[in-house]
Amino acid sequence: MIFKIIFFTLLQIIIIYKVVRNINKNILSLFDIFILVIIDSILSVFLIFPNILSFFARLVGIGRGVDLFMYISIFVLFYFILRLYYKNEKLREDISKLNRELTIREFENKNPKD
Amino acid sequence: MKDDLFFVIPAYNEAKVIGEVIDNLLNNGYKNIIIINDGSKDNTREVVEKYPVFLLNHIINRGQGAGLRTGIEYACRRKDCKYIVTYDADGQHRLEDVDTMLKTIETNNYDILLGSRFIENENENMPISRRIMLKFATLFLRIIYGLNLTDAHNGLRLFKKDCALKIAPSIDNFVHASEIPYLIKKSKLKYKEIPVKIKYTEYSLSKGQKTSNFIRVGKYTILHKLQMIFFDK
Repeated sequence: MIFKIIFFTLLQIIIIYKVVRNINKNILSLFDIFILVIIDSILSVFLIFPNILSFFARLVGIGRGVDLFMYISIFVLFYFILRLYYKNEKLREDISKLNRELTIREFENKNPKD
Repeated sequence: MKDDLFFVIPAYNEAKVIGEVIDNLLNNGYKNIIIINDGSKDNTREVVEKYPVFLLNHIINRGQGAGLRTGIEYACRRKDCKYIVTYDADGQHRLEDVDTMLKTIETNNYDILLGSRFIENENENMPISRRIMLKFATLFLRIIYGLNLTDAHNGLRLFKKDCALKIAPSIDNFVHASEIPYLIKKSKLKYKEIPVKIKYTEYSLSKGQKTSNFIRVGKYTILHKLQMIFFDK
């Protein structure tokens, strides 16, 4: 229990420090702070009252709350990796489009009769 | 009939054989040849420049699929184009098969004709490893996309200009060969497979798809399917 209190306090200090620093640098908008506060509040509740997470875990047929948290994290990370991959693909497509347009234009300028 | 047919041939480091392929086409009365030099590091460009063809030079190498799309887009901009053929630069296709395809598309109401090595007489000279891989790839595409094709990775295709942009691949690398059948299905085009023979030479086998490439095709196909499911592409 003592470990949990120390860990929780340290975590909150780090988050508050980072947020305040970024507010001073004008990096974070009000919306960003709002989202951060919500995420932080939800995680804090789960950390202080782990039984809530266990309740949800039992609801979906998973034994422990931590397991449920891990499964959700894996899915969320997988989704973000996939999204990053497709953003990368879009960039690749754009480079090819640019290359293509330059190629055709160069040819048409050199061969106006064609 | 041959005057409104455009050959689209992407070439990457094909200086050794590209001249022979162009000679063969010109000698058989095909005048409209689009060569896409896909940033070759050898003297493909210099070799092709000697011929009366449309030479499009990619500034950077983007892959066979990107080359095909460049050629297709250029052909579509031309008023004298009615049909487009995609043809490999390594000289593995036969012009007799193109003639057959041209006659078929002129007399029947198909949008696209696809070459297949696995209908009627199978290619006797096809290496066994290549045969297994191609059969496996075809089965895989059938499961993923629900396409009823016998040879999904054949480079010889003939199609009408009207539907060319619908099937022009967006995938740059060799995985475009899997994307094209999917685009045909998506666009609800009328297609038919035509039996063709492939000339397997030491050169074409060295330039052709390797076993590891088929694994990459599988990986990219799954990612493409996931993209369609999650990101509605």
